[in-house]
Amino acid sequence: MADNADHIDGDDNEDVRAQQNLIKIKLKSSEGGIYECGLTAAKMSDLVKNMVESLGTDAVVTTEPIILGNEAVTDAALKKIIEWVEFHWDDPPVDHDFEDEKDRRNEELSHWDKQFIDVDDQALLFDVIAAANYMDIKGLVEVGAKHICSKIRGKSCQEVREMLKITNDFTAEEEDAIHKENAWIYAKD
Amino acid sequence: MERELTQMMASLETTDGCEDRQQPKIYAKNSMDRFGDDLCQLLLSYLSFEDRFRCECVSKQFRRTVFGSVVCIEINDRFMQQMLKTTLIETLATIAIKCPNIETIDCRGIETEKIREHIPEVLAIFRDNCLNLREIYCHLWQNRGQTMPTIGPLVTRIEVMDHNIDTQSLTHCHRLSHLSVRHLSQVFYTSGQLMAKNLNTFELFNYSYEDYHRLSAFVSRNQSLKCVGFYENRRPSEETLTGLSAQLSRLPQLRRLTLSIEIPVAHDLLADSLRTIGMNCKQLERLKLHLSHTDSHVFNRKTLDSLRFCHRLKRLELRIDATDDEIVLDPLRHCKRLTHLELDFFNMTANVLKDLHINCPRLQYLFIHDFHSIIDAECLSHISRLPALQTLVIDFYNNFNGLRNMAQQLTQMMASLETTDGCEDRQQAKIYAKNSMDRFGDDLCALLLSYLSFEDRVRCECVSKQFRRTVFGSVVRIDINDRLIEQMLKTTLIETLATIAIKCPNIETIDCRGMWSKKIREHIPEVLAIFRDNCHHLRHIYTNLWQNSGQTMPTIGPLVTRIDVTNDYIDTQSLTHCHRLSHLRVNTIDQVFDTSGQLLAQNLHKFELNCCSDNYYHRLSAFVAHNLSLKCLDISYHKSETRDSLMEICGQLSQLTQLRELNLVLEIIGGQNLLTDSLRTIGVNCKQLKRLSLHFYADSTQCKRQILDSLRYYRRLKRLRLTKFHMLLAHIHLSLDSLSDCKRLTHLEMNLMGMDAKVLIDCHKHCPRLQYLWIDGNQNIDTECLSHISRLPALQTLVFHFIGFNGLSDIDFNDLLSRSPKLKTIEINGNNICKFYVNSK
Repeated sequence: MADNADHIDGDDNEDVRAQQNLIKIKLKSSEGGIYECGLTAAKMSDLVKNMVESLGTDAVVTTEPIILGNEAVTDAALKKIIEWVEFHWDDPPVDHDFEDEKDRRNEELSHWDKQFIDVDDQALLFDVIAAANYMDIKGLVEVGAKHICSKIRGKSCQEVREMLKITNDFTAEEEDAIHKENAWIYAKD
Repeated sequence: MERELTQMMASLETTDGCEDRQQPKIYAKNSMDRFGDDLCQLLLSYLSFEDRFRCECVSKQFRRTVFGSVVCIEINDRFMQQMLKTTLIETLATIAIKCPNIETIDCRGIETEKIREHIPEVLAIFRDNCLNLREIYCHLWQNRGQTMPTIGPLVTRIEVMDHNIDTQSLTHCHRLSHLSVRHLSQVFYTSGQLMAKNLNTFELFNYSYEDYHRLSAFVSRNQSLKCVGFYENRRPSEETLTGLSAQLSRLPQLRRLTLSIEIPVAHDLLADSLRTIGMNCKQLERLKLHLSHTDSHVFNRKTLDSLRFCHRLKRLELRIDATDDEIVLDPLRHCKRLTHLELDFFNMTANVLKDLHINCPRLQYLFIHDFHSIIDAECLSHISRLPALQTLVIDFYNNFNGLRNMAQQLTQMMASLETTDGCEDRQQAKIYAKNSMDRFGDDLCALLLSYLSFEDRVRCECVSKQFRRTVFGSVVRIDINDRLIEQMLKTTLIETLATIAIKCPNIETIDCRGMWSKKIREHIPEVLAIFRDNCHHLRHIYTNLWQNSGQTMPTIGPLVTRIDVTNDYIDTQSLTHCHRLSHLRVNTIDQVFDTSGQLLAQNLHKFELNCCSDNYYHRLSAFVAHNLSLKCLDISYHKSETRDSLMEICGQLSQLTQLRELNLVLEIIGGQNLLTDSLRTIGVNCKQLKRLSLHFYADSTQCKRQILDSLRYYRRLKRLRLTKFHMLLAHIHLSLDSLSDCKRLTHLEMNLMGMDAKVLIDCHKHCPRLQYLWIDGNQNIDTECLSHISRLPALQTLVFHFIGFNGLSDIDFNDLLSRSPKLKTIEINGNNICKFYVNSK
């Protein structure tokens, strides 16, 4: 009996999520563009979730756009973010009996995520990451982080600086000192 | 007399109530009569017990209100002597009736032998008259055994007063929470059974290494202990101290600890012990250390150094006798929460207090025992710098010349002391290019870089100052393997490791299971020692057990939480040092038992057993009985000679009701009819089981069908993996209909050799919630298979692994994507191909 009851709950929950995603809410970028997004998908952002829940009724939510004021939330970034949450909102939920931080960290990105995040325009990529961080979408920040780290993998400092447009603010002496500390990583046979 | 009194009390209440209601009287403002009963009762509740009786007849209101607030009564010799001047029984009965709200009786104040005789009758009277009585605190004397059966269920605190006292009567005290004994044997029955479990507070006055097994048994049944005191006036041996600290470190709830011991001859021992305790008892907030003198008169600085591992300490009391060395309190700077400090040093000097304001900026209370009157203006000026100090107590023996003046001086100094920080220079926000990673703040930068491998972090350290600040902070776990050590050996290993350990202060976990080759393994002890000494958050070491690892285990044992035993012949006795072990992999079940047959690993979280056969049945039974909390089990079963043995083993496994994940490798030669029953036992009893992997090797078709059939009893299963189900020669019809009872199944992985489309018939009915499907090793995937799959209503991901396709093309897969309601990705891999089809809608 208990088994059945539980089971139905689970189904209901999935149905509710699917149903709620049919409700479209409006998100407004910092540049003023307004975009529609399924409610369940939008709630993958903890920021949006908190705002929606504090606003209360769905009626209000569907008419008035939710304003995302951070300058990283450009039109282009917001479109990308909506694409991502609309694809991932029905991902299997986390099972706390098994969820291991380390396993998840080491898991390779899915093929879809790799294609999604492989953006040529680095300014847009960084906008997406900063906006996802601002909107508190942990899964998407993780996708961005894994992407950047896969690009850094095996590169020299100078290559990393050039790729990510980072200013070298070390003096030559400081850099030498660090090189000396890390001599082992550069050691050859 | 009792009845009379009750009547009196009753009549008193009724008449009084009427009066009040008739007309509210007006009382003089300065008369206590103006207060109502409630307030009056509250005010009088601060009276001593004796004063209440003295005041009872002040007024009717006093009489009504003066006893209602008595909830706890302390009975001591003086009180009893006073009462013995009258008729004891009657007097007590009167008191008991007047104070009906008594909840607690503390009769630990009764000490003289003559008065002790009255304890049984005293308690009996209160027990019979005070209906709210819930707790009795008492001493245990030699002859107290006989009263315990009657009052035992009320007794919550006991102090055993003497070595020779027979404590068997503790068995009646089920609710005991505070216990103080002279010797550990006093908490055990003569039969060796433990009497006191789930205590809150425990005090022990003598402990030696012979008691180690008792202590271990006691600790494992008293995990909830919050407060522990050890008082030992003999010098502890090495085993005593390591054993004691190892056991204390198993008490995760510990809040307060008192250790009163002689400083051992080998000084490092005490430091190591404190370190072990500090590392493991993360809740420890109050620590009292009373260290008495040794002949050497040398005090090892390392001892206090180890206090840095108790970084949650709020209150610390240090009493150190007779050392010639100056004591340095620098290590206290790691105890950032310290608010109360008591110092009682035989050799107190002004220097001890010198940097106290830097080390203990949050100190609110300071107590100094001034043995040699060294407190002078210099000391006070040090103390005056303590920014948060509110109370200072100086306890002196003689001669306090000028101290009064100093106190005044001090007050002035403290008053004038206003901290001048808080005006950090805020730089202006710079504007960065949008496509430059410089635009991110340190937090986000640290988060992004946290996905780098360790080597890449090192390589990138000098990209920029921001990288340098953020790239190592997120290293909480480091995997040390042959390759890494080989690379480091090209430089000076020790220096390199020390640099790393300092750069990564947040390391919590070291996994050195990757140190495999014989030459590299030799470095394990030094590698671990460096991290142990530099990374204060280190709590987990994962390691392999090699033939010669035994000797390092006593020192790192308390940190080891995962062990892989590498081969059949390894001596596993050193597991006895790893009290916190949660994951263990062994080859044979014999390896978790010592030579005397004692079980070496209890309360594991995960266990992997490579080889389980019938002979080990009784050992498995003993293991299961002590590992009921097991969450994850990998077990291989080979060569079953008799059909009953598998049944018995499954019967054992079915006791593991907390099991979440089970990976079962079964190799069965010859027909077996009881497979369904055996596997059903597990399915029916392990109700938490969410993941099941069956790697099944058998030669009969019947076996395979039975296995599939038994799956219907695993009703809570979320993920199922079936491998090595050779069906090539089977030519039988198997279907997934037995999965239709597993209503929660979301992930299914199948390696079914020779499987044909028939297996998938109606899969959408059997597995309506399936999100992930992985099919391996089938050579005959055709359009019919795809058409069955396309009906799965919840499927999101489909993976084909080492598959042969029967005339299928891209068109078929894209067609599948468009027909299937939720399918997002199809992945095809194996044989050097890796292909994806992604739903583009």
